[in-house]
Amino acid sequence: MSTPGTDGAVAPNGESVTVQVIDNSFRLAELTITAGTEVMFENRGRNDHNVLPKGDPTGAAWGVQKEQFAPGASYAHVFTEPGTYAYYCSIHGTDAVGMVGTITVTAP
Amino acid sequence: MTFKALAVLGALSLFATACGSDEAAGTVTTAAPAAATAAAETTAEPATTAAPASTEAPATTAAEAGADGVLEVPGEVATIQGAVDVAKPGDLVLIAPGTYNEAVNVTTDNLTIRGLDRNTVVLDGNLELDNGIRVLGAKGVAVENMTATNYTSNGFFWTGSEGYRGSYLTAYRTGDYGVYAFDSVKGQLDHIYAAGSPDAGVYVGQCFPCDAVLDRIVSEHNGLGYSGTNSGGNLLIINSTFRNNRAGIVPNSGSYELCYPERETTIVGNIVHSNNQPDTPAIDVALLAMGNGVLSAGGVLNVIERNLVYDHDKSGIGLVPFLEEDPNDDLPTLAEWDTPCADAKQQPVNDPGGALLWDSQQNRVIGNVLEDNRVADILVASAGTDVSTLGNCASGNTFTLSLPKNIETLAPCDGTGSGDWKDGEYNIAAWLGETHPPSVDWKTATLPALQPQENMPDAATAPANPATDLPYAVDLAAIMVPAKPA
Repeated sequence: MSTPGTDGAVAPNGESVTVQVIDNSFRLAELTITAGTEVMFENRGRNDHNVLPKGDPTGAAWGVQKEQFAPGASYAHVFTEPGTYAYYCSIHGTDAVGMVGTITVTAP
Repeated sequence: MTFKALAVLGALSLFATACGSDEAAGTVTTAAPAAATAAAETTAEPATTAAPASTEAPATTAAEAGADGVLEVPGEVATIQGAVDVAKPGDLVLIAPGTYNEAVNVTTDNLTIRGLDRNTVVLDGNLELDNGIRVLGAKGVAVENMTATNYTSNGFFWTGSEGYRGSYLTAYRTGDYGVYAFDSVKGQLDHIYAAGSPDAGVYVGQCFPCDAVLDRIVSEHNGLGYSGTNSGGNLLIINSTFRNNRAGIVPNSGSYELCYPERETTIVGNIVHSNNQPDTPAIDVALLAMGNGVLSAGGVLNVIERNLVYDHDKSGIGLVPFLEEDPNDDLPTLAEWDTPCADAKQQPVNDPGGALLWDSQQNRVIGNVLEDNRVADILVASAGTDVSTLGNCASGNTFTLSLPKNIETLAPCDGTGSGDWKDGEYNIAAWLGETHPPSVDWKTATLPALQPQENMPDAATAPANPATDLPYAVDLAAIMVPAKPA
């Protein structure tokens, strides 16, 4: 897995792709987008979930904690740099197993 | 048959169910490997009365511990998590009586995690920790003979596991489920006591075929006694008791989990009673389903046979639709049913453009004994679909009233039916407008005092017994309608 870089960031391109957050899966779990695209995570399940980037359980880089992500809530993040971004729900998995997903961001 | 044709009818929905019974019910047939006899009930103060676990440094190092394949907690390793972390596949983690304020994660295959005494080995989340024991993707993990209480999510939780077993477990006062097997197959849950969850005391979801046996469960004072969304396929619920929940046994379909629809769950030899309990914690679905014994809500090809079902405000056995007002996908075609659960995460979804109605179809209700179910002993309904076309059947039941009337003449399981389906047609949509006693905070809900529960035999000396080669074979034909408890 590659690590998102710190250079090569691009401006938002106005496009948005939705990831359904259901019980207890991300759909699509493996997503490919071009840099500058917004990913909208929608909690479409009946349970609490969170979205945490792998290696950053605080969600400081991006992500949303369960308190802000009850069923019906949404969270958006624009991925501006190419790379592979792994994420997970810590309530229903770890960064390696269970409720996990990956976003591959390609150069525009 | 294309189930898409059934989609999106008006705005109704429901499901519900109920089941219940007393103690461990039924007549066992094939021996359940892990266990012995019927589970007891409840009582005894929960965790707080247990002796505290030792906090002293263990006598041996982590490297030395487990050299014999047994890791003793706290004798050799101070914490359960510590022992699990150093355990190797095939090892036994053996836990001494005490209160353990831990949330244990398990990722090692084929472990056996066992308490020496079910009633005094207590994992206590202090209303802050999430899960007592959570098994994440590990195969063959067995958890035996202990109690989990006061966890904000679940008492015992397997997810993504091939091979799982929970035996002689007590889950008491938990914020989500008591015992929770999700996206897991080849399992066994036996001798379970579960009380005080707003969702289900016992839940098996998102698996097909599940290949699992639930045997000798007592589930009470939960939102739902049993819930199973999008599960089924050699999934047996037998010899168990579901009582005094909002609703009893509620398998259902919905697009908020993968692997829809729910199908091929077999429910035999259970006691399901008095699932009208107004003072439990309860999720919205439990409120909607309140007052029902066994409720197939959008379930397909289920078998409900030789159960004792009584004392419900609504139905004893209900075959009703489940309405999803804001679905995530359209109804699956028969071809889509065969999509493996794991692959469904990458399947594109189709916006149905409105609500989905999951009808209960092709279910078989046979040889049950039903009494004092106040709306109907057997209820078959839809909300827009011609219910006569749904393929449900009923035969050989002992009951007073069905809706539609004379259901066994209308839809026998072994012949051609006749009669008027409009006679006694039930307006299931009315359930949507009903009000129910509100949910009670799970942290403070009044529950039956926790009674001493049956221990597994030979906990101190039995060898490790990982959850392999499951489920065991069950002779369903040998299970009789259980006797009514005194």
